[in-house]
Amino acid sequence: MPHAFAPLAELFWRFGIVGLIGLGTWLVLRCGRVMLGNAAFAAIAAAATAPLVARGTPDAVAALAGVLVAAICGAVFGLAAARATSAAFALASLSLWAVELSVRAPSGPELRSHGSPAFVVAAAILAAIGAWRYALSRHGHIAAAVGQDERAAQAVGIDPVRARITAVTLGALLAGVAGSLSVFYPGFDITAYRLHGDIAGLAAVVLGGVGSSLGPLAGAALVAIAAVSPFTKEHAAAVNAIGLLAATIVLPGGIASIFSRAARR
Amino acid sequence: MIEVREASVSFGGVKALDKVSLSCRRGEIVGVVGPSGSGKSTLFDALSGRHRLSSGSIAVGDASIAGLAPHVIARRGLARTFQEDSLFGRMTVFENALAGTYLRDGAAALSSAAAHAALESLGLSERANEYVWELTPGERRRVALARALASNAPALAFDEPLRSLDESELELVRPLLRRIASEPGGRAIVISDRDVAACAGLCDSVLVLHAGKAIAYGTFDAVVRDVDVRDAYLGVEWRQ
Repeated sequence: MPHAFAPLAELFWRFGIVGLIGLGTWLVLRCGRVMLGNAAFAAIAAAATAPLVARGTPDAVAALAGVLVAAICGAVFGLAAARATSAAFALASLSLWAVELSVRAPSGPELRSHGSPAFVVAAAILAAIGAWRYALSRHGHIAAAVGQDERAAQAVGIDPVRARITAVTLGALLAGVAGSLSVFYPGFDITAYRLHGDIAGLAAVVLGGVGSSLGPLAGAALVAIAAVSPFTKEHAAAVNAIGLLAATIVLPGGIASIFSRAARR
Repeated sequence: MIEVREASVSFGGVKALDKVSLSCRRGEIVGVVGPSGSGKSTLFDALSGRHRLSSGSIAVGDASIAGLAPHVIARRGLARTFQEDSLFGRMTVFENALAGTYLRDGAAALSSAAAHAALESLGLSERANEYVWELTPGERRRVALARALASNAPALAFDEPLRSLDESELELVRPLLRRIASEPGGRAIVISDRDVAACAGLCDSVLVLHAGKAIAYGTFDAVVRDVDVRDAYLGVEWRQ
């Protein structure tokens, strides 16, 4: 890729990866639980995909294997934590940081990665459309009911534990797509998922807004710009944290709430 | 349909419900009456599996529901409302009613039709696309009822369904409850209220609770004539 387009390519890579991790976090949040470690599933997928790529496994097969491993790990975490209260679930999700710290994988130069950001951007947009369709479906309605009033949800026959396990598994699957595709990013380094990925994913959801699946993508665009812009690049994590704090206080519904309010007028 | 036998619920050393019994068959409405703290909501929570019984038994249909999770009891055919509205706050009126149909097995179109029918029966059709936070307290209460009715569950437990309703809403809801109970196939309905007068002309039998204990159980006329009820609950006005 010509050097002049490198920042643009990096912007798209980051947008796609953060968008997918954010969408996964959004799915769990919709179900009434705060997931603080969704980037761990991206790290797991990357750690499963990278060695396969390094051994010459076809890219698509390696990526699918990574996604599958992440989804299985998500289901296991979901089974373990789905019965926990809101606070306990958030604390339990912190345990995933240990995963982020311990996974290892060959990095970009060793892999001689040559992927195009088009794949990860397309995956993020497809995932947002899929999440939007899911939100409108019966299963999505069930997840929202659990998130909004668990007691009332049970009264209409909804099993909140099952709904949460599904949400965590789907969230891990989306993060797994991000992790698997990130292996093909020329600057791939699995240590980037250590905490930064979680903060970026959370910032994307809070900045973009939890009301719609487009919120995490809108937030991911801002997070990606902050990570690539020469003005904020050096302090991207701090910018994300400030953005997260500011959005929580000033704009709790995120950017998406501005549009939904305008639409209702 | 709903059989409560000698049901007790304890929280630590406190008996919130003490050997309470009631029976509600299809086509009947049973009223549970008592002031705040008398055990009405504890009884409803025990019925729907939110509180475990320390002794006694509860059956819905022919089967005991002891130890079952609330969502399993709902699937066994008991739909309930809560003292607070407990609506899905970021959903529309229609979406709230649609959630009630999750107890049914059927196509999406049938679920949608059932939700619309429930809203229409409670005079909420025109507000179907509004969010529940935009409604009056009485309308919110009616949405909670619509959600339960949309389920088509044969057993219904409504915790203070008449609270917050104005006169015109009461004129709509009271006959509706009576009609639902007595329509072909009939449903068993247990309602609670703080005011025994709410049961007049509505309930086939009335259970009066006081400090977790049943102090009277019978027809409305028999209950309001009961000396214990008058002393403990109805007060001087009823003596006169």
